[in-house]
Amino acid sequence: MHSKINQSFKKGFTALTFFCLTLILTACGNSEDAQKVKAALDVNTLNITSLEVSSPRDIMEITATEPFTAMAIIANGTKAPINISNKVKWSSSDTGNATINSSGVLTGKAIETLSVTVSAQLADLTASKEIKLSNAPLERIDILTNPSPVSVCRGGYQLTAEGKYETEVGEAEDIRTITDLVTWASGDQTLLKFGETGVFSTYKDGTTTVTASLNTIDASAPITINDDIDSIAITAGSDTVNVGSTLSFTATGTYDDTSTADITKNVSWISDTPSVLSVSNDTATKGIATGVSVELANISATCLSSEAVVSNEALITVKVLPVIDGVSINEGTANLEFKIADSPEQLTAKLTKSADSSFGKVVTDNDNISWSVKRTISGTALTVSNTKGSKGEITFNAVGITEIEIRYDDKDADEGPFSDVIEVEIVAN
Amino acid sequence: MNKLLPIAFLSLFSVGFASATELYGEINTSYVFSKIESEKFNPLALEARFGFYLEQQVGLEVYYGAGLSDDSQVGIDLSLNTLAGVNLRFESPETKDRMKIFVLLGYGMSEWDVDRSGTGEPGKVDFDDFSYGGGFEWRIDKSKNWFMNVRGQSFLNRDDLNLSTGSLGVRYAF
Repeated sequence: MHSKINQSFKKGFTALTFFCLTLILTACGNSEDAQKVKAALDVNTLNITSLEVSSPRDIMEITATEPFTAMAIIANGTKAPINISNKVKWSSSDTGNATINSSGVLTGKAIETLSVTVSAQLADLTASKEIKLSNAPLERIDILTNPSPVSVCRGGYQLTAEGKYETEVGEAEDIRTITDLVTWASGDQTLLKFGETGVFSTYKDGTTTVTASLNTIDASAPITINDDIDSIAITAGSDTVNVGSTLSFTATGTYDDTSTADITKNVSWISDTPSVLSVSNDTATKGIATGVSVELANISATCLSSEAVVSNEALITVKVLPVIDGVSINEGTANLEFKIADSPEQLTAKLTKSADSSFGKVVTDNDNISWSVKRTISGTALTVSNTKGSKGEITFNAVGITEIEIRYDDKDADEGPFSDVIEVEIVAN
Repeated sequence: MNKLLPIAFLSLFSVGFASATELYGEINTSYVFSKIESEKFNPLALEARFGFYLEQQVGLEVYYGAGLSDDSQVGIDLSLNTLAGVNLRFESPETKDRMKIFVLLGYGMSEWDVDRSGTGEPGKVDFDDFSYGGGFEWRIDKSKNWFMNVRGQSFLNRDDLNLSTGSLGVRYAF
């Protein structure tokens, strides 16, 4: 009897083995399916109702590259759109003549003029844009919106370049904005430097020339930089910094015409004691000071103009780094939880006014919860993170009382919006 | 590469099965813990397992499961269509209280049906990955053949996707 049962089951097992083998071999578990599922989740969690695709030009050269941008329209446009160019799946209607990479950059491979449709897909939402690949040669470059003369030690001056392309007799003019395609060059890097495409900053007064070039065609324009800075005032978020920590300074320039500008990136920063507090003059980190050793140090800024205007001095105390991790405050019935980051050890956070006990839906990292500082009641405000992964995390570096607002809005469940305010006081130990 | 592993497991299973004398079958009801990024879905599933012992405390089993219910989060409806795979089962000796623990190592696949806000998209998706787990098992009363067990097993853990189950099952050793 036992043997018969075994024999029957063996047949069943054999069938089951082949069945499972078929199932597993036909499975094509891959990252593409994972992307599909995550895209569907993104659409719903971000409340994306449609997509929009754009690019700087409607016509591009046949072997050039063109960056495309995919924007998510949130809640039918009632909220600010979000750039999701790195989340969507890009495709080209004619991969033989133009390919597009995962970042949305289209690369032309055509040999004659044609049109290609670029599409972006996120879950079941799609959007597209048609672009013409033209083999018309560039005839001329024009530099537009030349702001000369400009002020010394000031940034954000934008130049624009237009390209005029050859057309057949009777065709409409082919003029394209090519600010991002041309190579911008300064005639004198000590006076003027280019940052992002066509944007320049000035560092010294004088006259120089800027050049835009593409495909052996170029155009130039003179730029005059006036020595019109009147004064520089520097400020910092704090008058103390820990050893190993950084402190950002801001420089504000006042000009002869009484206008003011943030010139943090255009001045030269000076520390009177770099062994205590160093300050960076590198392009990316200009005006950021780093505590080196415990002591006092003065920071100032100067513009390298003919007048050599120097700012006020900021006296900074460099202190030993305090470390506190893992402190949390639980607010009983409302299930509120804060996480505290980078708080000086001589300070403590405490709730001074509880949330309404009926407001019991707060979960720190829930997508439906948003955290924000509502107002500063006294002293120095703290900051609260609303970034996924660190929601509800508060950071503070001085005493004060701050109101934090928590909003709950679950559109899918049609719950909310609810909101409540709690008060957090930072006190000295 | 991934597909060579189940082939190897199942070939081993087929060859071993032909000469096996100690066989077993098992039914589990499972609470599914699946996670897509930060959203958690908890459908229910039913699994059937069949296996045989390669050695006294080493078994080789195949399993097949299907979803009993679906779950929805943020407008995404998720149901588990299929859960299938192979495990090596390592058992501890049975204690005098008729209890033993076991560890599972194997490879499995799962097919999900995902529906965004009633659009039917993205539809059926499937994944395969190494699986592992373990549990406790009690011989029911003084029966020679019947066992009750509690097990946990992870089937998928990559690309911000997770799938694991907590199961209550009954096993019969032939």
